[in-house]
Amino acid sequence: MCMEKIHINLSTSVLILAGFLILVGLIPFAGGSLYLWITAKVLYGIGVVLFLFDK
Amino acid sequence: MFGIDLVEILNFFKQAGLAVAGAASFWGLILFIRSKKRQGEERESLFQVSLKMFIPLAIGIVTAVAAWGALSFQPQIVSAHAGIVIHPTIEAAAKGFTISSYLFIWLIVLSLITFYFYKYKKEILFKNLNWFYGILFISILVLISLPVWTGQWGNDQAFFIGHNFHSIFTLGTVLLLDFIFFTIKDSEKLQRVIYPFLPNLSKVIWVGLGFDFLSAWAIFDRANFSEARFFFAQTLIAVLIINGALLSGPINKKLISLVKQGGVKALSKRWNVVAGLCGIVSAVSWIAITFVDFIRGLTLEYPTLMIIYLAAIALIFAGYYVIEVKKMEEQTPAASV
Repeated sequence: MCMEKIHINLSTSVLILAGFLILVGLIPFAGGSLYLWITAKVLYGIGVVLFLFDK
Repeated sequence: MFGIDLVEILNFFKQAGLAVAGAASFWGLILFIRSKKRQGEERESLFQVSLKMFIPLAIGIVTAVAAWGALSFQPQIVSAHAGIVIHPTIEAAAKGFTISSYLFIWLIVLSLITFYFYKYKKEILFKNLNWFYGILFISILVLISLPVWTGQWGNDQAFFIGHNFHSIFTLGTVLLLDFIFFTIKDSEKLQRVIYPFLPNLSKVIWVGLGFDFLSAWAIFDRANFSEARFFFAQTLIAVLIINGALLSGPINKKLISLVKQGGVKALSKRWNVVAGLCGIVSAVSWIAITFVDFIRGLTLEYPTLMIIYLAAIALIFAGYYVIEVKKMEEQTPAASV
């Protein structure tokens, strides 16, 4: 039996992207760059707001 | 051993206990209020699940009180999940300990009163659950927020408050969500009503994590970044966000679609396994990140921490898989998707 296709909406996509950016941002952070890490946190905030208004 | 101090472990258990108790009283209150606004089966189901919150509430309070009782007068160590650290002064920690001691005594008295009503005056308790849960929640919220008192309402105090109380809405609510999911698994009646309610817990968890980020921002410019703990905590934050997005998004929607139109269909084996794995990843990640928060002198390196973390998930998932698959094979085949 196959699993159905799962539908990923905008808020889920933004949150997943934020999570991946944190992982990627850990690499440059070791060298001193915070920008990717901060961007990830901002994206997280946007994803949460989108999720709160999800129907 | 590995830089782990007994006092730090006790502080962890105190925090975890208060987080679970706070979440149980909060969601018990919400579910009870919601039940009052409904009729029939929905009202009864919401009330039943609200009563179930007494179990994690009692476990959380006993754990927190036992840890507090075992603690000697030590400075409270507070570390942000990001590995962003400020340490309280001895004076601030001592003041915080004094305040929390009075609050713990108050919590013990409240718990004994609630227990008395539960044992001898159930009818009065069940009619006034909102008061019992409400007063317990506010007491635990204040208690968990003030492990340290700096003497003024500045950035530092905001950090200590924000970073502690969010545990009710993150760690506590995550564990409670798993508790609710597993305790209603065998009741179609409860699933019909509770599955559509679960997204509300997810929303609170997301906002709670946001509070944690904001509280760390309050002291960002003065923070010192530690190495292995910082990278481990950040990796887990990323895992939590990705896993949580899947759990509160497509998986939650799947559960709700199963109970639509008045019927309940069983989850297929694969969906059951996926949902279970996500729930386990969520719980283990939050416990791990909170634990690492409290162990300031942890000497384990990043690869070691990750191996222990992944091994814990694998072990718990293996146990869950064996039990769940066996249960599904024993059940009479039901309509499944």
